[in-house]
Amino acid sequence: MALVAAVLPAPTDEDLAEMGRCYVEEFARMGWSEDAVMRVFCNPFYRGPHAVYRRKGEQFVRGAGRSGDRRGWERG
Amino acid sequence: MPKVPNWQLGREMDYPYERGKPQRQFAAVFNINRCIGCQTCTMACKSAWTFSEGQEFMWWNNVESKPYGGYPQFWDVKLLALLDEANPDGQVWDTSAKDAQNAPYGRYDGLTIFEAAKKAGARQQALGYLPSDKEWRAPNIYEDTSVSWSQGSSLPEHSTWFFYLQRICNHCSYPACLAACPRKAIYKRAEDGIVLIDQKRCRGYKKCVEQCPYKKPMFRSATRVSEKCIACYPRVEGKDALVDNEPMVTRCISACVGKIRLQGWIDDEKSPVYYLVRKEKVALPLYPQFGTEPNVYYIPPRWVPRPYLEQMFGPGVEDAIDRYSNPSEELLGVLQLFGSTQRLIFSYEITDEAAIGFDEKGREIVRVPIEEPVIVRPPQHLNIT
Ligand code: SF4
Ligand code: SF4
Repeated sequence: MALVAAVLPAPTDEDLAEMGRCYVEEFARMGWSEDAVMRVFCNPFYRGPHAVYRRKGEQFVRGAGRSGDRRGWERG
Repeated sequence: MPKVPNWQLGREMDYPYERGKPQRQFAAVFNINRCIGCQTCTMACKSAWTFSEGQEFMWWNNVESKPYGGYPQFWDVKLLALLDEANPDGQVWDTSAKDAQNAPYGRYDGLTIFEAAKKAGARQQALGYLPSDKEWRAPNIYEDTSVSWSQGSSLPEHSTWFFYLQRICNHCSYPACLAACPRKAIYKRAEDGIVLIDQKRCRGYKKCVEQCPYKKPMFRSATRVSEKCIACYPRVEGKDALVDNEPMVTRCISACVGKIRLQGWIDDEKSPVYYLVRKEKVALPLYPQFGTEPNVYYIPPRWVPRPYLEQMFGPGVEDAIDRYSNPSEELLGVLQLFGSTQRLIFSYEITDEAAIGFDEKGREIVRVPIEEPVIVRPPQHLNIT
């Protein structure tokens, strides 16, 4: 049992990337445009998305919306 | 003890009573990936049901930030520790023993809380503990503790993964609260599987508080009896004044800002909940190893380390996340139905253009376009500072 007298696994770069992809894809699935999502990520008020933006960079965020997910920006 | 089938464990298990299968079973799916931790659900529940004297510790719905938060504090860590103590290193799954209908996650070879209590020869029906007053005192402790973005600081950053876990009573198929009650004051309704405490019979012995592994019954000192989530049964029965005898979803589900919740039936193949849990297997039970067959199911958060999630939701995690991240057209459509109506969706249809929900009689009650139109506010009406 991982929680009993054991340390929690630390976040990896990939965990952060996955969290970022999840944020972007959830917005994309709701029909948000690339521009609208970028405004959220650039704004320090939205701490989670902004942390992803600062650590992973703008190209990562834009790329997350374009690739992989079938509801991504490319479809719209 | 009678043997009862538990599909979540892929085997039979001990339970103090014979299986009493309801006509249909209340169930819900919560999508953790979408929750923003706003606590609107918590307050919707409170303003509907628990606003009176002694209300400050009555959180039938709560949303806790995992891994640090919990209400009562440490509830799951403590239960896991008790089980581990009862069966050291034995709490394991055999994932090779899968069967789509009877063992979708494989077979659980460890002890449930009922079996652990029996093994210990304890007076308890289910392994449990009574949280201390201190553990009940801070319903939202450690919320958002691990999220921060520090600008202009050279201190080491202390941030880690976290997620929100939305919790109500699971209206379990094998409720430990019911098994524990010496007064037989707790019952499971034949018509919808909702688990209720008869407050007239309850004498406040707190056995349900002690033995519910999810710690969802709460003792109210002002009334000296226990209470818990009632699945908004008057709404499910269609008695809410808002509608004319039409079943509605619970307050927490209809109020959810993030539209992360969907209510339905776990044993009706037409229900979107059945689809998400039993067919697509994208939503999983919370701590299935406890053995109560809980009926609130979760789409696990994609970014959290798998060992933690597997401990919490069982071995179905990797597949569930894979399906959620690469969704089929049907799954994308059903996800559109989340939070789309206050009415209870009994069946659905996904077309190229829309996700459509129907009531019990097959009448259309909601239609959500697959490609939702986006309407941008004109600049003079922007409400962002
Ligand atoms: S979650 Fe707890 S209170 Fe609710 S039915 Fe299950 S055992 Fe009972
Ligand atoms: S209302 Fe919905 S989004 Fe807000 S905390 Fe509750 S479950 Fe999460």
